[in-house]
Amino acid sequence: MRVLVVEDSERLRKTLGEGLKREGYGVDQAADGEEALGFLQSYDYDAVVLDLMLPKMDGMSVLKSLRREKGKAFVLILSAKDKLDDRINGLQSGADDYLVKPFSFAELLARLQALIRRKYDQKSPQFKLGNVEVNTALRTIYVNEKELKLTKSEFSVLEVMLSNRGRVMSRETLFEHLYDGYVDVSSNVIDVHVCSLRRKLKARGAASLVRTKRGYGYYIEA
Amino acid sequence: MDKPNSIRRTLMIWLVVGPGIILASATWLVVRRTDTLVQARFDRELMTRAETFATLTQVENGEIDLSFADELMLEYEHPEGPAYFEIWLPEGFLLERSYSLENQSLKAWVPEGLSSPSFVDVSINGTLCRVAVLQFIPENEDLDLDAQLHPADQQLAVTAMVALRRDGLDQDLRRLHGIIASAIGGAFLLLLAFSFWLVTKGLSPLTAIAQRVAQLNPAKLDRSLKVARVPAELVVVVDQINALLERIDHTMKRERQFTSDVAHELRTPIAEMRSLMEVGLRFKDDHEYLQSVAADAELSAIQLQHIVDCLLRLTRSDSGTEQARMAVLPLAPLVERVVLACSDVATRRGMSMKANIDPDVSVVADHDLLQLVLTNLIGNAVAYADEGTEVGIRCESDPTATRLIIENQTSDLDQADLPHMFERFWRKDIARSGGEHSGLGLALVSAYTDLMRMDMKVRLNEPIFTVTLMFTALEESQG
Repeated sequence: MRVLVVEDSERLRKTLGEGLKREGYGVDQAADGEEALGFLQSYDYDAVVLDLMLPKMDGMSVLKSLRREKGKAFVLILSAKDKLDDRINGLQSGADDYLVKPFSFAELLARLQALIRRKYDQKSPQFKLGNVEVNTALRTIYVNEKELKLTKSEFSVLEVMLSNRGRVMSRETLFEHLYDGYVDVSSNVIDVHVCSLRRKLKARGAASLVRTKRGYGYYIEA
Repeated sequence: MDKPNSIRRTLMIWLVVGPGIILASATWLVVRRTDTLVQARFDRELMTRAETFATLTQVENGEIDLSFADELMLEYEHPEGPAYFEIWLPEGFLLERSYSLENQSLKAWVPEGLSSPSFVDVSINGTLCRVAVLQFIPENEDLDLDAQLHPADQQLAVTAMVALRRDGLDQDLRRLHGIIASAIGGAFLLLLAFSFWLVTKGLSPLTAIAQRVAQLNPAKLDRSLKVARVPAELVVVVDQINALLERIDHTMKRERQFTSDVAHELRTPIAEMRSLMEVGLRFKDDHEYLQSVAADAELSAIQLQHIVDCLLRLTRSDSGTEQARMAVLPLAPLVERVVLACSDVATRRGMSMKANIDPDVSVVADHDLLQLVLTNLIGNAVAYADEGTEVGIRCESDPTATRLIIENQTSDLDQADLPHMFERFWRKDIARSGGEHSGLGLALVSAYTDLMRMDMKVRLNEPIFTVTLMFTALEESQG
C-alpha cells in the first residue's frame, strides 16, 4: 500500500516514513504543502498522512485542493491542533480521520490500515480463502492453521492483491502501491516478491492462491 | 461578614434626618412664636378692658366712684363669664365687683405683690382665666390739671383686676398647633417622597452601571460596559472600567494564545521523540537503526530543552526576576565571537559575514544578555538570508548613542511581517521547517533589549532587512 506523509518537521517525517516503510508500505514524503500537492497530482495514494501547519501551503488548503480535483486518497490529518473545532473543520473539509500529536505510532498504523480497508470496501481485516487465513491488521497468514512467515514486502504484495481480489494487478500497479517514487519502476522487484510468496504458499499446499494472467499480471480469485 | 454600606440608605438617612431636624426646630419656633403673639394680643385686649375700668374710675367730691354701666357690658353679668372684674381701693376696700364673680373674690386667686401692669392665669370656678392687674390713680375732677399730672405722694393707687376666660384662646391655640403640625407633617412626608425620588433618580446611573458590571462574565470579558447617558461624574469610571476590561481581556487572550502556542510547540518534539522510540522499539533488532533513532531523539530532546529554556527566560524577564548587570563592554570581541559561532551555518549556506566594528567602541550592557541578543539577531540573519548573500555588521557612533547595525538580504520577508517579528512563536513559513527554531528567539531579544534599556528598530528596504540596536552613550549612562 502506498502512503504519502506530509509533515514539516524533518525528524518526525523521516521517522514516520521509515516506520511505515519497515511495516511494508510504499512511502513518499513531502515537507510542505506545495510539494504534497505535486505528489498527489502525480500518484494515486492509498492513504495520506497530512499535517496542517505547513510551509508554503497549509494542510487544509492541500486537502481542499485534493478534494476539488476529485482525489480519492484517504486522508488522515496528523496535527498538534487539538481543539474540537479544528477536528470538526478537518473532517468536514474532506479528511477521513484526525489524529492529534503526540500520538502512538501503533495507533497511526491501525488507523491507516482501517482507512485502506475502507478504500477497498473491506469491513474486516480478516480474509479466509480456502485453507488460507490472512489478517492484514495483525499482518499474519495461516495456511492449514499453521502460521506462515512472510517478509514485509511479500505480505504487502499479498495485501494489495487481497484488497483487489478478482482484479488482475499489473506489475506497475503493484509497484505503485508498494514503492515510493524514487525506486526504479523497471526493476523486477515485484516478480521476485511474487515468486517468493508463491514458493512459500506452495510449500504449505496453497499454490493456487496467487495466479498469473499471462501478459497482464497477477491476481487472487474473488 | 459586615453588611456593606449602602449609598442609598446613607443618602436617605441624611436627606430625611437633616431636613427633619430643621423642620422640627422650625415647628417648635413657629408654635412658640404663634403662642406668644396670640397671647400678647389676648393680653392687650385684657389690658384695654382694665384701662377702661381705670378710665371709668374717678374721684368726685373726694370719693372714688366707678361709672359702670351693667347694661352695656353684659359679659360681666353672668356667672359663666366670660369676663370678671374687681376694683380695689388703696385701703384694701372693694369698690366694685362684677356680677359674674358672684361672691367670690378675684384677689383671693391672684398672688400678692404683683407689679403693675401684670398678667396671671387663675382658675375661676374650675375655668381657666387670665387676669390683668392694673394699678392706677383715678382721675380727680376736684383737682386742676397740673395737680392731676403731679399727684401727691400720699395719694395711693386703685387696683383694677380684669379676668377673661381663656378656653377660647386655648382652643384657638390648639387649632393653630394642629394646622402647623399638619402642614409640617405634610411637608415632611413630601420631603420623604421627594428624597426617595431624588435618591433613586440620582443613583440610577450608578445602579445601571452596577447591573452591567454584575452581568459581566469573568470568563468572557470581550464585551465593554455599555451604559446609556452616563453622567459626567461617572464617565471616567465607565471609561476606566472599559479600559481595564479591554486590558484584562487582551491579557487573558494573550495568555490563552501563549499557553496554546506553548502546548503546540511542545507537541511536535514530543511527537518526534515518541514516534522515534516507538518505531525504534518495533525494530529493536536493527542496531544501526536504533543508533540513528537515539541520535534523533537526542536532537528532539535538545529542541525541547531549547524551547523550555527560552520560555523560562521569558517568564523570568516578564516577572522582573531577570536583572541586567550593566557594565562597560568592548563591542568588537563580542561580535567576533558570535560571528565565529555562526560561521558553520554561513558556510553551509554559501554566505559570507562582514563585521566592521571599531576595536575602541565600548557599550554599556549586560554581557550575557547582549551575547544572547547578538546570537539571535546574527544567527537569524545567517539562517534566513538568501543563500549566497552577505550579512553585514557595522557600528556607528555619535556623542549621543552607539548603533550596531545588522543587515542581510532576504526575499522571504515583507512589510506586514515587521510588526509581528518579535511576537512569541511568530515564524515565517520557512522557519517552520527543520525544527531548529522555536520562534522565541526574537521575543527574547525584545525582552532583553528592554531589560538593558536599549532601543531596537527593524526596517525592510526590499530586499535588505536591517536591525539597528541603539546603546546609550557611555557618558550618559555613567552620568
